[in-house]
Amino acid sequence: MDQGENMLARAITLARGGAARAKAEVQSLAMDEESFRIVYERTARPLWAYLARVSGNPALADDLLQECYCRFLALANPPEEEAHRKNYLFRIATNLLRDHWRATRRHGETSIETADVPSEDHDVANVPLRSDLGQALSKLKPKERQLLWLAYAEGASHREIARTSGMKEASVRPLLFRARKKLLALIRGATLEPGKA
Amino acid sequence: MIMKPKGCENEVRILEALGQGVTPETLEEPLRSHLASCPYCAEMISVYELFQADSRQLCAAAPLPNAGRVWWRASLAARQAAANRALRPILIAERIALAIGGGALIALLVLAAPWLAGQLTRFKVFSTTVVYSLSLSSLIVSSIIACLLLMAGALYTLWAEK
Repeated sequence: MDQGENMLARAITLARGGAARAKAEVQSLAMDEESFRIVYERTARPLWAYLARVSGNPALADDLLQECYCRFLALANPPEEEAHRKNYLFRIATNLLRDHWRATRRHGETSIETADVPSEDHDVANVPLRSDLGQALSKLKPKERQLLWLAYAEGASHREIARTSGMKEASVRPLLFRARKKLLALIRGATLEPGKA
Repeated sequence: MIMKPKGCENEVRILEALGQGVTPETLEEPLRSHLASCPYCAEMISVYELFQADSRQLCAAAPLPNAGRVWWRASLAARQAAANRALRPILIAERIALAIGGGALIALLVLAAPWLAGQLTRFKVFSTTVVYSLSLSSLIVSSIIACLLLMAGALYTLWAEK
C-alpha cells in the first residue's frame, strides 16, 4: 500500500515538474498574454495591410502576420517604446517577405511580382485587393511597393524606411520618387484605357 | 551635366508633418503656400491621400486571426525551441561519439592491415598482390587524422544545421 502511495506521489511530483517547466518556457516569451493582446490590437491591422498589399496575397499575409508575432515574442529584449515596436514589427515583416520571395524564386514558382491575384477559395477573397491602387501596385517591383506603402500609407520617414527595408537613407528619396512616378503612370494609364475607366 | 529629377526638397518635411497627423490644409504657412505652387509636392499629396484611403479600407477589412491563437502559436514555437535547445547537447554528444567510433574503426582497420594482408596472401588469387607495410607511428598518425577529419565533418554538419 505504502509502495503504491509512494509511486503515486512520485508521479504527481513529476507531472508538477513538467507543468512548471512548460510554464517557465511560456514565460520565456517576450511579454505576457495580456500585454501581447494590447500590442496586437494596436499593430496587427496596419501590419496585415502592409503584408497584403506588398505581397498581393491575403492568405500569405495571414501566415506572415502570425510568423511576425511569433518572432517578435521570441525576442530576448523587445522594444519598449510603441513607435520602435511598430518599426520592429515592420522590419520583421519585410524580412519575412524577402525570405518568401527568395524561396519562391529558388523553387521556380511564379514570381511574387506577378502573383498579385488572391486565391478565389480563400476566406479573405472579399478583401479589396483589386482596387486601382492594388492593380497598379501589383505591376511594380516588391521593393517599390514596400517603399511606397511605408512612405505614404504608414507615413514613415526616410530614416525609418531605410531601417525597415535595409537600404541606405540617401537611396530612399530617389527610389521613392521613381516608384511614385511609375505608380502614377500606371494609374493614369489604367484610367485612360477604354473600358477600364 | 543633366541631373535626374528627384522631386522637391520640401517633400520630406511635408511628409513628416503629414505623418504626425497634420492635414494638407493645416500645414504650416511656408509649406502650405509652397504646396500650392509645387507640382511635385501636389503630386505627392495626391499619392499620399490615395494610400491613406486604401490603407483605411484594408485595415477595416483585415481578417485578423485571434490574438489568443497567435499567442498560442508563439508559445508552441517557444516550447519547441526550448526542447531543441535541451536536446542539443545530446545531439552533439551523439555526433561526436559517432565520429570517435568511426575514427576508432578506421584506426583498427589500419592497424590490422598487415595481418589482414597476410591472411589474404594465403589464398592463391592474392599471392601476387603487393602489400605495403607501414610503421606503427605512421599508422597512429593516420588514424588520428582520420578521427579529426570525422570530427570536423560532424562539427560542420552541426554548424550547417544551425
